[in-house]
Amino acid sequence: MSYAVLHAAAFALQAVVRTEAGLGGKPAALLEDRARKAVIVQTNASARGAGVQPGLTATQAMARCADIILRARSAAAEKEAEAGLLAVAWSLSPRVERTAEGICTIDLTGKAAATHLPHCREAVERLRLLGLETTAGVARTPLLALYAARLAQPALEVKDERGFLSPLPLSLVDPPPDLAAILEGWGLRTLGALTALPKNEIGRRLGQAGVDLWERAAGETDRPIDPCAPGESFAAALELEHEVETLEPLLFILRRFVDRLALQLANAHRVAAELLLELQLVDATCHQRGFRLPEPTGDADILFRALHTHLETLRTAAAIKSVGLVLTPARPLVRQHGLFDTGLRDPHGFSETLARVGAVVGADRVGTPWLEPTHRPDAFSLAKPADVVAPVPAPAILPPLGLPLRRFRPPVEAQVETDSQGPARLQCRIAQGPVRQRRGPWRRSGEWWQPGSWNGEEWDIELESGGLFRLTLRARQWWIDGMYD
Amino acid sequence: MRGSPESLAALRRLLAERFPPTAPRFAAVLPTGIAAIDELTGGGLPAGGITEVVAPAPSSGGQLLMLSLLASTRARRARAALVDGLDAFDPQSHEPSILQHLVWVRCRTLDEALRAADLLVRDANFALVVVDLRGFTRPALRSVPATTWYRWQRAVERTDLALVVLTTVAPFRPAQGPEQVEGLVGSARLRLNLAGTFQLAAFDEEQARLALQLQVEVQRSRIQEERRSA
Repeated sequence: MSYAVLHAAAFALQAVVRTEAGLGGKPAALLEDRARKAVIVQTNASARGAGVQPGLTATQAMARCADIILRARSAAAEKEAEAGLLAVAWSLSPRVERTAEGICTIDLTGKAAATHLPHCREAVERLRLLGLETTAGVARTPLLALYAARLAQPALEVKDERGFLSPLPLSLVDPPPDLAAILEGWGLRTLGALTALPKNEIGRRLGQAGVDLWERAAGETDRPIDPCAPGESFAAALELEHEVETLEPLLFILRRFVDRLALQLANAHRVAAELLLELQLVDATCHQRGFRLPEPTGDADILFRALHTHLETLRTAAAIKSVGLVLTPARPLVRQHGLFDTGLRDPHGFSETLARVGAVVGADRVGTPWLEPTHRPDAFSLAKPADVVAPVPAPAILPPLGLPLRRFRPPVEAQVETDSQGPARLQCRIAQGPVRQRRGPWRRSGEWWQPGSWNGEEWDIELESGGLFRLTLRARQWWIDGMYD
Repeated sequence: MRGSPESLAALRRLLAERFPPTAPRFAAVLPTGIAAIDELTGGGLPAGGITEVVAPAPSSGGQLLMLSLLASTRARRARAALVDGLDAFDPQSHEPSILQHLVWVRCRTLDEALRAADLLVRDANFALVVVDLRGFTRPALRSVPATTWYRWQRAVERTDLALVVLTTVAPFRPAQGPEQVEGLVGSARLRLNLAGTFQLAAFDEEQARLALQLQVEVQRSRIQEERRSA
């Protein structure tokens, strides 16, 4: 049997600090309301280095360290951090126990012994990327692994148990205060000194509590772990301590969410098919946006880019007070591309490019043109580009004639002199001069029964100076619809 | 502060050693489907490079050339993008079947067109990106920093993307006969000039036949030079 323990010291403080950008490495402390006033309950290494200790008030802490960052506990942030810790733990083994706040015990039974320490180091690094500084210990029993994790820099495997335990201070095994005082009186300060005494003699003098302490000091205490099951939902939410008005803090939080959820998806052998982003605003409104991914993926970078692209162009009416993200899991798409398949080379890149271009010109101005079933001039719609380009159908029986039109949107107002045959001279801001040849009129009308009806007389003209144009007479006004090119 | 010629030469040597020049890719071409152009250019427009098409006169066939390129990419079931600088593309002038592979970006300003093109040329899914800048005034086009064209060239040179930039001398200037038209895109590997202008009789002809009547002059071609130097 072999166990690993992942231990995040000052977990509640780390959970809060990891949700804000730019706080890494700065002195920080967690305040908690006690009987009369708020006192510091957890500190990070920088704060401890500046002399800030648990038990101080905020004023005392700021007197010792002017730059200290003080934060209150956040249940949502702790829940999110714990989810990250467990997700990393589940990447090592399916049997994981939520031992205590910031501590989880992992049953490594079945894994090759040589991989225990390297995998624990990877887990510590992965947690560091999730914003949690942790240590890892590997040993024969959960308790020994916990002791190792508390002392690790950043990972430690206990092979020689006696040699490991002997020099350690008695305080490591959490002796009850009355026993600690007695042992102090006996001159015992290390675990080795305690275990050098016979166990039954300790039992006779100190009772069962003494025996338990001796067994803990000797590494003989063993217990089964109480594994917890990973959740089926892939969601993250956080109520923000300070309302967010700019993009960067929001992206920072979403990156944390995405990294954790991607890991959770990987543990469950799933990928994300859809994302649902929910932003609660301070004016009590809610912005919700769903993203259907072009191809299900578990890649955190791709998931984050989908959110980033949307948020870059988002303007909310009020500041954001809470963020939520839900991923819809799906089975990974396993397929082999056909030899003649002309699907997208990079579906996610394509989707992202379209979203970015849509952000520049407007989402309704990008797409594949489709002609509408009507004779109305300039009637078309834009559709989402197809995932696969279909084979070319058989050519039309009647091949298209003439030059394509280059439309002026909106049409250009024109002054036209006419003779008995039709337009004879054109004058407008883009072209002018006598008409060399003309064809027409072609009368067009339709949908006269509804407001959007059209009715006009079209002419194709060639100017003496060159250039073929489409002229339209509508309601006694001449317009140039476009140039044939 | 100016560097001495010796130190500049040393810096160039150092850069040449650290970052040896790589041979440009020129094997791939995108056939236009127009025999005259494909013969002039050795098979088609260069993939992995920029082709500038200058349409100096109205009705010189720029849209017809674009139609041929769309048909060519459609036949290969490749994807094409059109950055339509002044939102002038008319889908009704085209067979619906040749538009199914097209991503049409309807821009309103030059800035929008340049930004959209900058994104599209970096996408690995396209075989053709056409940036239609006709209709913008010459001073506006001249105000585009030259670095833009070189950035696009850098973006496409390791890909199979054929980037076509359509420009004009001035909107709807009457044809003045053959002339040497100054190009805009400094990094273009191929610059074509649409020399002729169509007349009203063109309406009786099939589009495929009209494409064969396009009068195209090659103003610049670095393709042959690159092939020789390789």
